[in-house]
Amino acid sequence: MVGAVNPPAPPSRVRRHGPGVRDRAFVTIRRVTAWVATGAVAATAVLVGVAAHDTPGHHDGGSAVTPPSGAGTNSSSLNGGGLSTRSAPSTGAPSFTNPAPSTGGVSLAPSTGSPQVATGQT
Amino acid sequence: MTSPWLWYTTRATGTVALVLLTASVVCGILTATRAGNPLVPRFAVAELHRRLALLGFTFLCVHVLTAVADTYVPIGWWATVVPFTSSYRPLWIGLGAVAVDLLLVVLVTSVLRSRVGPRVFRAVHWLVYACWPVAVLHAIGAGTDLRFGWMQVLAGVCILAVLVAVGWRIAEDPHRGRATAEPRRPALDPGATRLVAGSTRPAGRSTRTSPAARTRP
Repeated sequence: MVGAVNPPAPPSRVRRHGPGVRDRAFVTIRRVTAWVATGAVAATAVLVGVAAHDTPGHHDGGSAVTPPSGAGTNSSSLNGGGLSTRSAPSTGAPSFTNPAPSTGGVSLAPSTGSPQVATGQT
Repeated sequence: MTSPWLWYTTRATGTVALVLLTASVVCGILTATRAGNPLVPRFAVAELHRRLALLGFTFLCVHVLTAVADTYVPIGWWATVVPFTSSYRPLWIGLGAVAVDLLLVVLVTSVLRSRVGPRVFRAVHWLVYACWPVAVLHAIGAGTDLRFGWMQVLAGVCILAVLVAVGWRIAEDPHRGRATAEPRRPALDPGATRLVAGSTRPAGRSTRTSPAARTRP
């Protein structure tokens, strides 16, 4: 029975999917891509907002400032004091105290030397 | 240039790039398998894989650019391509640099696929299986958002998705081996038969065998 043979590997995609199928598929792909791109940009905006919202004023003790444990000490020892004015290497992570330096006494005043050590990491 | 928004953007684009590249990896694995149906044919999955990869790479570029542009942390240009040269978290940033390098190689060979040939393309494309875990490790080690539950869930979903896709591919391998072990010609003939049948000929097999039949007495 010839008609019962199921072709496992057709010779070409064009033969397997006609031009109509391909056109419809590509239209769908374009639409999905547009939605994904839009969603990715929106997600980025949301994540930026979440990060901006996560300031020391919103979380007690400036927990958002502190990096994962251990990272700060590594960077501080390897950095060589490259960031003298901000003393960021002392905590190892970019500071969340920048957007809200006045909140809760989490100050970045250069005169204090390493304010984040006192506030972010105890 | 130091701005908190640069750092926020670095974090956000890193997360989005991870998700997009994970989706691209999953689509790529599904393309390698025989997954596909009339509604979502395999070439559509392959096209989606390419587009997701390019989109993810775009976000990765923004991730790298903002990380370098933000001078608050000492990540130089070289540290984004030369692994383990960053003075800021050298291990985790170095893993990110390794992932970037591997992804660049895969991207270049994908763009030059017609020139490098399918074998080189396929061989280099296997590097993705090394690139993606390294990128995940970079996200886990360097990412500061992992403190949040949603980020942990997101990372878990990404890892689970790729593991399931890889498992599916491994489970399908015996079928692929059997299919490739079969002679090539019988695999091609039914397709031709179907095409001939589609062109309103009465019976494909009979038309193909008709020359031999004609020679018979």
